[in-house]
Amino acid sequence: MTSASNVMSYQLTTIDSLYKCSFSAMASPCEILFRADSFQSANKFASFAFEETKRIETKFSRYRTDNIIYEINSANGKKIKVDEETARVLDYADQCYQLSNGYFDITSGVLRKCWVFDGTEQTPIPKQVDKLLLLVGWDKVVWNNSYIQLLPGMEIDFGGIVKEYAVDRVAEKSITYDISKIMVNFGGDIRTKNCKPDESPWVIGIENPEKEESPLGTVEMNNGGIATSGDSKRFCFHNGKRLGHILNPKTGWPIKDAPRSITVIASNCTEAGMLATMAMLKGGDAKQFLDLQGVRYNCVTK
Amino acid sequence: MNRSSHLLVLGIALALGVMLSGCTTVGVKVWERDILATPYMQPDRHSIERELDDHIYFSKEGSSGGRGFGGGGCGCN
Amino acid sequence: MQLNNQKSIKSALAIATTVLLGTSVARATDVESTLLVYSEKDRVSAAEGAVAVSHNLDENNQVRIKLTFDALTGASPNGATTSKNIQTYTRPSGVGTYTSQPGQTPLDNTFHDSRVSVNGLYTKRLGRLTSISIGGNFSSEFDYTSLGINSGISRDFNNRNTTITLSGSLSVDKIRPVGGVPIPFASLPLPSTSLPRVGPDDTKKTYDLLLGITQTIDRKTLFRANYSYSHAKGYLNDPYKIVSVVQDESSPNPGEPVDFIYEKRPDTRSKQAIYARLKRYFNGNNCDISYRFFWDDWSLTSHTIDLFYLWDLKKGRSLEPHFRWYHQSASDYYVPMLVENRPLPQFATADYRLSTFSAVTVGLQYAFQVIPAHTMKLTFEYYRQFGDSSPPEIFGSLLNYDTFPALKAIMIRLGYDFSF
Repeated sequence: MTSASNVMSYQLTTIDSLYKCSFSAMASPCEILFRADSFQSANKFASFAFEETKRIETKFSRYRTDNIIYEINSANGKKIKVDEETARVLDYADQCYQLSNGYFDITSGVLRKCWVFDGTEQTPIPKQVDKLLLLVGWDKVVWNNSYIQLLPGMEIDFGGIVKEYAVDRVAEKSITYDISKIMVNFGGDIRTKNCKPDESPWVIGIENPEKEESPLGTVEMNNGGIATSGDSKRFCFHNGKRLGHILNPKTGWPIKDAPRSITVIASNCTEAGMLATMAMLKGGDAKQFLDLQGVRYNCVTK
Repeated sequence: MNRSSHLLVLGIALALGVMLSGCTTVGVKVWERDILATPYMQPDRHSIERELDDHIYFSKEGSSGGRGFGGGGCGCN
Repeated sequence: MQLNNQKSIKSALAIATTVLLGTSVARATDVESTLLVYSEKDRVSAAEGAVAVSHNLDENNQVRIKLTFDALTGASPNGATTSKNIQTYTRPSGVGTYTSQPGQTPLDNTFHDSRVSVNGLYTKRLGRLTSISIGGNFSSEFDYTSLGINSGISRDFNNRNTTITLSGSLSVDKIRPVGGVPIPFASLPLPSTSLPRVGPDDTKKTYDLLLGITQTIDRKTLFRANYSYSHAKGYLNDPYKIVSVVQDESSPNPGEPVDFIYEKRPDTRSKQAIYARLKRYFNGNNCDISYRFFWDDWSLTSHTIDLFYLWDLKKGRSLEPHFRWYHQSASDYYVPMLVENRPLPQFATADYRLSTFSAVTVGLQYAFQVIPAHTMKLTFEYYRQFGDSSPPEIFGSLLNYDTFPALKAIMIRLGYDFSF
């Protein structure tokens, strides 16, 4: 049963007693497993899920020139009024900046201009980093809950928030389509929901980022989120030492001793993703940080 | 109480309000709203009981209003 | 990076995430219901029931409907002074009489009434920071009808730590006293006779304005301040209240009545109030204290202190003592009685509610969870008024009686709240 074969749309199929909606968005394979009363209502929801994900991707992508992110980043010092949803994401980013003592910073993206994580010895010259650091720092941004003002040259991006947000949005909105059991999985960032207590829990395998063929284990979950931070394929070497791609917004250099990857289980995907990202920014103290939070996690350090 | 002291009380109340709203150290961050979000801290908790109380006091005393609108809609006073 | 801040941020992050995802407002319906029995010693008894249903239509729209019903029976002071003789008064309808015994506070025992009222309020959020509301209310009793509309706007500032609210209301009331609207200062008719009346009914219009500020002080403290202004215009008398005209000091029976006349109040009244309230959390318990200063252009002023302390007994149970103190100083128009052969003042009322008195309420509420999301509340309260038993204006035989016999009342309330 395929409702559409166009790559710009989604596919809806059935597996056992569940529907599976799959499409490609946010540079990831996206997959939604859910239970619905009929193919018709399943298709209605699948269509919504696809449209909603695309909407969020389009609205918050840093690669486009027709969205709010571009408008903010190209304002050249001017004040920009933002809409409701953008304001909520900016509020959230602001709170995460403060909760992480300034380590999670949505203005740190400009640093990527001088870093190429291609697995070689190529690192930028310190002067280049220092120059870009002048354009980094959420504390330099004026944000008054409806207007945002960046210094000319500064940029923001919602990496670390948007994909997880889309996962949760799709899962949360499923209630209005009378979907009682759902798992949203966008490239390993997962949210599950079981509205009926007697439903069997979702069983989710945790991938090993180093060896895809040998998963680390499985997790049983009714309502919750899983997200992973880290990308073992993006790194470089400096003086023979491997440096991961997580950049420290205070030094402009990669975080020291950052784990290869961190997977966190929390009550939703956005929270799990942020905890994983913040743990990553703690470098060698990542595990200690996660233990303190009292969450289940998996940390790959080698 | 004479008129000027009424105005004084009003002035103090408004000044307090402006002081509080203008002062950035007063207030909490979003993530500090855990206690404020509990049912006991809701300003309109027991609202139906307070409304019934207001109605009783409206019919037994010479004052009304303050917490909300001044009651009324009742021939009891 | 050093872990200099050895504190879990998970709960803080969870709240922030909830706000981002907008999951805090569920599609929920809250029902509040209360049954109140009010009983004064030897006077009025009342039973009151109210049900309020609040329903979130979606994230941004909410409706609340409230239904109230009350029934009242018993006797209420008619304003006349106490006498050494049996006093006879024509009933408000002009048909029949009622009497008061020697030495007893004159009470009108024809008092029985029932009232139904409906309130509706629709609240809409306009974006994250602003909300507007519009509402209406209607109430009806056999001699009184009221129709009102209200509207408000509120906006959050200062990272949502400050909320400013502005609201207004307008109500139009119609009074149809039994037997018609009496002429102010006219004598009470003799039994089985009728006096000319102003007309069958009269109206009253009330405008209200409320300006409020709610401020989060810290993680455990909330402050609220209101300024309210209310202006009423129209028929403001109590058609059933009378004033005794007594013999003067040089008469053979000083202080004994010669006539009863209907009261007369101005036809406008402006009330103002300043209200401040502080709510604070202490280790699972909760303290709620408020103060109101009230004044009007009838020169009545009052102070009210309301104090609640909530003990959380865990497992959904709580105990909440309540204390209220009230004091008002009399309106210029209040007189205990009028005196024969003296010029009539411009306005006069002997309604004790416009005299100087104090009142105290003490109460206790016990609440417990019946099943999750269902709470039952039992409240017992005692209310007492203290007035001046012997004001300086009285003389003669009036000195033998208590001009302000204390009003004592008990209130028992049964509440049941649930959500689904």
